[in-house]
Amino acid sequence: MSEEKGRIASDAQGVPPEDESLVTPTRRRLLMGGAVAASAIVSIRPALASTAASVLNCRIPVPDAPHASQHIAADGTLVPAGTQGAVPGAGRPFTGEEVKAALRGRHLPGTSYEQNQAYLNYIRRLQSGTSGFTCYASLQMPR
Amino acid sequence: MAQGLYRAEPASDYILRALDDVTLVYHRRSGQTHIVVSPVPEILAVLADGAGSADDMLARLSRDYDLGDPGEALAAVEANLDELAALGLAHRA
Repeated sequence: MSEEKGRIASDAQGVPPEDESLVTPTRRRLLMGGAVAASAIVSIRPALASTAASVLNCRIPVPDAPHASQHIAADGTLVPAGTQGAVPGAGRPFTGEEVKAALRGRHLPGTSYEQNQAYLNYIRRLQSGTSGFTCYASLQMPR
Repeated sequence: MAQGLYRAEPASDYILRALDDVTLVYHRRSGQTHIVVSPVPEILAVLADGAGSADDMLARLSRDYDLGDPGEALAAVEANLDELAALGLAHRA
C-alpha cells in the first residue's frame, strides 16, 4: 500500500505539475479559499513525514473536549444542551478516513441523518486551533 | 500600494507529490513535509515561472484557471504567498 501511495499521481486530481502548466487546455475553476492561507497548508513534523498514510488515521472529535457538554445544531454550531433540533456530540472521534468518506456522501458511522448533517457541518466549521482542525484541513480536496 | 515581490524556492529544494486529493511538498532544507491543497500547488507552479508580485501570480493563474472574484482571489494569493514565504517555500525578493 505504501508503495502505491508514494507514486506520482498528479493526473489523478487534475492539478497540473508546475512544468506542464502551459499545456492545460481549459480554464477550470480554482477554489481560492479566501485570505486564510492556513486552511490550505498543513505542515507535519519530520518524524511523521514517513507515514503519510497517517493523515487518514487522524481523529476529529465532535465536538472538541472543551465543549463536550454542548450539543450541535443542524448548521454545525455549538449550542446549549437541550436546544431544540440540536443533537448531542458523537460518542467517539471520527477518523480522517471516515470524514473523508462522509464528505463524499457516505454517512458517518453510527449516526442518524440529523446527526450526520450536524456533525459534518460542525467539522466544516472547524477553525485553526480547534482540535481536529489540522486533520480536517489535510482532508480538504480541490474540486 | 506597493506590492512585494516573491520568488520561488529552487525546484531542486523541494519535491511535490500528489497523494489522492492532497499534494505533499517535501522541503529538503527544513526537512518538513507540508500537506497542501488548491490553490497552493498552482501558486507554486506559477511562482516557478519567475519572480513577481501577487498581482503577477494572479495574472499567470488566470491564464489557466477561472479564479472567481478578482479581489478575493488576490487576497487569497497574497495570503498563500506570505504563508509559503514563512515556511521557506517562497522568498520575498
